[in-house]
Amino acid sequence: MSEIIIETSNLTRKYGTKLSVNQLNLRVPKGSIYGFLGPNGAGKTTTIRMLLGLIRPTSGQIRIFNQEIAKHRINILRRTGSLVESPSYYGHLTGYDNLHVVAKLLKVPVKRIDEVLEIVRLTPAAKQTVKGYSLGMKQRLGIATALLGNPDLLILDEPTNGLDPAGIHEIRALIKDMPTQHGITVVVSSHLLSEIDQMATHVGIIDHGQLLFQDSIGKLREQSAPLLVIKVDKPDEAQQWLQANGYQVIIDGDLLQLSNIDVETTKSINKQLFQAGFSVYHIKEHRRSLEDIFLDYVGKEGSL
Amino acid sequence: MKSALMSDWIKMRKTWIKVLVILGPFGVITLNALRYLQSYDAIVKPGDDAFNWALLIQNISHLLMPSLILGIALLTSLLAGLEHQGQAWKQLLALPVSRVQIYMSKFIWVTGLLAISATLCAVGTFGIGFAFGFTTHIPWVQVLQECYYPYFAAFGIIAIQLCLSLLIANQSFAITLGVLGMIVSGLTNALAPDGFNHAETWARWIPWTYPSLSAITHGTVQHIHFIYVIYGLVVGAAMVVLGMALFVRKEVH
Repeated sequence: MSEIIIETSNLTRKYGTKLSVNQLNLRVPKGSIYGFLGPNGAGKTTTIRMLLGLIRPTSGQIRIFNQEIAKHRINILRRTGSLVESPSYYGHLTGYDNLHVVAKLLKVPVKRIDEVLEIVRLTPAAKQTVKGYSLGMKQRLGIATALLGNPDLLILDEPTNGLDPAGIHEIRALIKDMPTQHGITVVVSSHLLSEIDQMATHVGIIDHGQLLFQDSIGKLREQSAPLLVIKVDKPDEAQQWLQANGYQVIIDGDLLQLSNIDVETTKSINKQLFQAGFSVYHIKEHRRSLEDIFLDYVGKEGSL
Repeated sequence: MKSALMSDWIKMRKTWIKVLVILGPFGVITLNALRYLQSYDAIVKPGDDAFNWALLIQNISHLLMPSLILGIALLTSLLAGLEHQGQAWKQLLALPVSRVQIYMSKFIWVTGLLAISATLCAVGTFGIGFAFGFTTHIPWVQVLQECYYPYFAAFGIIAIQLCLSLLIANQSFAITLGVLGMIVSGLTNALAPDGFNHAETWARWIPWTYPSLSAITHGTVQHIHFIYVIYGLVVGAAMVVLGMALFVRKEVH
């Protein structure tokens, strides 16, 4: 079991009587890209604000780098870079000066500013005032700011919000490099499954403040293993016959469904059914998309 | 602490903040200089420099009080506005810096910048005096008192305005309070000198009266009340502590 960077226990936050985050137990392993997935208003941003000490939990605990955030906030934040929701910036200052403001507070050398500008490819726009930046540039400036202090942990809340496809692609590539090139653990929240699917190694699905799933993305994908769907003339008899021959078969309407299927078994099942005198009308592989699985978790009404 | 101060210094680049610090005393001095140019004969008694200086101090003081109080409101509001505008709080407060330092840095900057304004005002007062040939009876101490006592007596107002500007994003609250404060401080001015005894019973409860009551010249007689400087510093310290306590607990959404 690898080291855990973020661990929350029964993390809860109430706004009035509304439970915004309910008994959350997050486990973010070291070196992972943890996709924090959920529809809008599920409690992602509230959770992230608690992780950064911007708001206080109603109950429950947060440990980051094995330290209690309530007691060691400054120590934890020293090793954490963050980007929370919409970009934060000083519009009247240039991109460079925005980073300079933070560099002073972090006590990092000014040459680090040029490095992070280079990483997010903002060097050409460094001398422009930020109020003239596009949303994508502001977002990239936010990521540059997050990287300024050479963090061990990067917490990014909806980093691709409002970006165009090229920008999204760029940010995604940037995030994917973090663990391998810089040894940074990344928590990235999104309401888009496709986005998490393309970069995360671990996934937590949250809805209505509750954690519905948390594991490696591989485990989530396993649930999308293909099914073999067979249509025959006598489904009931065919099911009994197949079960007698050692296959796990369920019947859905007049269709037979088998899981854990590969090409060889498909071939032999088809052949055996035919030899046993069943007419096979059609046989196909049905793959549930991650989208389907996600929707199963959050319910169909969950907006994507 | 030094890093927080330097960080705020960079933030103030290309803003009106530094301009305002100079513009305030510049306005007070220039308006008076123009008046002396225009009606020199009516105001100045040739040969009676003691009177001339006293009247000059009075004239400067009458413009200085309202500009000081309004200037505080504008300065703190501009400084706080930098953080509110680009939603910078959530980034700033997720950095490994204590909130106490962030708050103190703002307070130090406002008081530091206003010290420059007060100094410029004193320098300008001497400048006008010398320019119009008041060469004898130079009231060094009185001019410094007229500029620095109200400044220190205003620390309570600074702390109150800063607290309001930092905690409430909508700056119209802070500006409204600043304008009201300016009017209140003007009322105490109108009371003087006969109203002093009366004012002493209630004025100590209203920090906006401290600057004008600490050093006020009326009918060319200067009334210095150091106690209002003490009041200002005490209220300032108390309000900084209160504001900081609220700021440290503030939730950032």
